[in-house]
Amino acid sequence: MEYLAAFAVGGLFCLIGQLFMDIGRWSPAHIMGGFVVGGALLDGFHLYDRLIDFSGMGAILPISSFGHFLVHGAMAESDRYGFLGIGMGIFEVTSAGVSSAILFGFLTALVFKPRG
Amino acid sequence: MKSEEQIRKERFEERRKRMIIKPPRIKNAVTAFVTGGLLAVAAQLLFNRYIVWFNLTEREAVNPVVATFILGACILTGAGVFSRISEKWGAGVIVPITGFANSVTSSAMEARAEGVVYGIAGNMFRIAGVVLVFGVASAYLVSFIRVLIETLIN
Repeated sequence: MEYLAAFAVGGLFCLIGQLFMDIGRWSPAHIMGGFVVGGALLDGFHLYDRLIDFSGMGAILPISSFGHFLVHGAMAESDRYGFLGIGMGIFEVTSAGVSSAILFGFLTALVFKPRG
Repeated sequence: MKSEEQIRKERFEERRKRMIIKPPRIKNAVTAFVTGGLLAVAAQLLFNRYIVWFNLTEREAVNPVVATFILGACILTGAGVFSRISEKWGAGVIVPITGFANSVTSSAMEARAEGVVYGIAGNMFRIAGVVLVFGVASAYLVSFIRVLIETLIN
């Protein structure tokens, strides 16, 4: 059942992205930026949390969860430190994703030679 | 009586319309849906396996799964396979975290000839910077408003 929910929600996100690509003629950079902003805005109303509860990885794997986790880290830290905490905690949850992307990207660029 | 220029313009429009290839929207949309769904199912499977294998809680298991997908996308990009995959499957591999990893790796690899410092390190976030900039700006705004409301209520 949870796989079905993950399939439906993960697929739906990609479907929306594809529609923006074909009809709106957005570039991949526009899509990624738009999804991150959308995830952050949705988390402002606690909607994204419910989506993750419902579908698990289906909502975490799309890039929009990056915006959601940014807001989450900021909110967790601002419970303790108020307005200062927003800047302190904003990368708290997502730092694993960002740092592994930097590390693996750097190593791949060192090892592989570009072709085509 | 139409002037010659008008006739030429009309003919140009007609030809232009014929030249633009309409993307097969329905087929692309279905492909993206299936691909994105399958990736999510694979992530869910991996997530459940990681909890069992490494004795993790649900919160802790998210990061290894995401890191695995990033590693996979980086290797596929390095091998030159990812561009062919994303041509075929479209947003199905761009919207998940694999698209972020691909944009980091491909812009770093493109600039490889300029050296390690200015090339790889300097150009790494040329496209992925969009995600970071807009993500941080919007997340800052959203959390600022939420903290403001919470302090006003208390």
